[in-house]
Amino acid sequence: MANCDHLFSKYNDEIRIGSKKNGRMMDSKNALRKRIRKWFKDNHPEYEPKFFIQGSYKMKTGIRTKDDICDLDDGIYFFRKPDVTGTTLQGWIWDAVNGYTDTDPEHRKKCIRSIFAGDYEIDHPVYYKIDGVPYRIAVKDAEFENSDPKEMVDWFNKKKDKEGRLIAQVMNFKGWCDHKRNKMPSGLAMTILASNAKSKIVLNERADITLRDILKEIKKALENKFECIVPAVPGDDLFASYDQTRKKNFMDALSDFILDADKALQEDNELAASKLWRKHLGDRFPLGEDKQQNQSQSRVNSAIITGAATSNPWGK
Amino acid sequence: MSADLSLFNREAALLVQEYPELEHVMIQGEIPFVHGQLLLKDEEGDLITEYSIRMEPGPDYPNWFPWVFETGGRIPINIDWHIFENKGNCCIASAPEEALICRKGITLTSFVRFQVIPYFFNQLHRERMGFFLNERSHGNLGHLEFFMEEFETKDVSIVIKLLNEARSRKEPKSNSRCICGSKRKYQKCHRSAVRKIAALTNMELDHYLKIANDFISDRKVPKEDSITNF
Repeated sequence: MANCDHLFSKYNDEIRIGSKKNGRMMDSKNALRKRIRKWFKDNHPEYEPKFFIQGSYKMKTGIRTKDDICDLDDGIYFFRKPDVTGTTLQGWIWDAVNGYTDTDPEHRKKCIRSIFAGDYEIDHPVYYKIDGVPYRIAVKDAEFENSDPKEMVDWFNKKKDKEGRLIAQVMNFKGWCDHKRNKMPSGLAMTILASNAKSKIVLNERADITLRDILKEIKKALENKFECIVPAVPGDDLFASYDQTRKKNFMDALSDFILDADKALQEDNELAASKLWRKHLGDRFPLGEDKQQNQSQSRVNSAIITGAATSNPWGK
Repeated sequence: MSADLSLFNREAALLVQEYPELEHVMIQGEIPFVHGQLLLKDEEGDLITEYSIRMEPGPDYPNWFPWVFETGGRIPINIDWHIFENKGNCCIASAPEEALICRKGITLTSFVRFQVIPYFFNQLHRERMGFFLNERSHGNLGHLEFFMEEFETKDVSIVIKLLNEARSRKEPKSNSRCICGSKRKYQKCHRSAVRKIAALTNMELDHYLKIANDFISDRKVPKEDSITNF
């Protein structure tokens, strides 16, 4: 019964955004903020942008993908009712940040993306807020939509534990989806699913056990109802657009991961267990030592096994 | 049926003498209970860990186990941890197993020693190793597993034969061949197991026979279990 908790710690360190990359990303964020402020001052002084870091960076669940890319969501807020469309407002941001990176910014549906090739991406979603009305996000070629990213961050902050176990698990799930690719769910979806699952279990001190427990709860929840509701305005179902193929792909991936996670927990050899985890988390998950971890050899574990020998718990 | 509260109180008084970390609480007009720390120790008496528990007579003590709750928040209220999700009490054994143990006679002290402590050791095993040392499947399949273990077979058709034997209330001659088909003498083969199972009522045996027959006929196990009182 190999305890791979220490390998998960190493894996988290491996996929975490390193301090150098983080420093570069913060410098870029500040430079882009400065550029956006200046652009509005020069071109539309009646619009004064305010900024709020949100998303995974704010929740501390950001990871480096296997291509060594990470991202940062830096929300731009205008505390007035715009007299232009959301697309125009986004276009102004595009104009403001254009030229800062080698590649042109991308005008995406709900943000302007600045691409720092091979390193990181900074997304600028644009919102306005007036009294008595929820936050509204600019959407390309559509009306503004209600959307409160702070609410999502607040929700996650209430869910997370002080030991950082949920954060570590969300990173593991994002690492899993990044390794699998093939239209696996977004990081936001995995954050929501894992956080919901957490309320059904008790987080174990061992990351390998907790990961398997969360996987099982996610599967149970999705078998009951295949949905992933954002716990913030506008309460979208992130799986609403999934077709049967994509749904099956994710459910199969979940089942496969659970099967191997169960095997890994029962595996005595640390190397063999780590290879099972690697199947799903990729080569960035470290290999364990080729040694047996026979739990019954310890006096305490031997006593636990003896004590539990006659127990056969059941459940309806 | 209702719980024998005076019996529970008498036994609780004895229980707390043996387990001084538990406290017996009686409040006028309320259901009595026992609560406190359940200590899990190794063979040399050294403490491994402790669980906070509360034990109530349940609806039908001593015909069924008392209800045990883990109150320290260490075990989630989740059926996969063998905690009933409707009331939050521990699922300690399958229904036929529980019925047979109770029919043989239990006291709170024997219940804690032989059922509760092993159950929490198993929970500790799950906490530390990630899986239970032994566990039954959920639902009626878990009942079948109990009978298969008792009759030392993985063949449900043999379980049916032996349940029918118990249901007949007639014992074959000791020198007869066992009805399981082993060619061994009945007294050396399944006699003691059948005698044990025969403590179940006809209604119970009919119920488990139906589960076993349904399993054989379409490999499906009925979800509803009308015999347990949980």
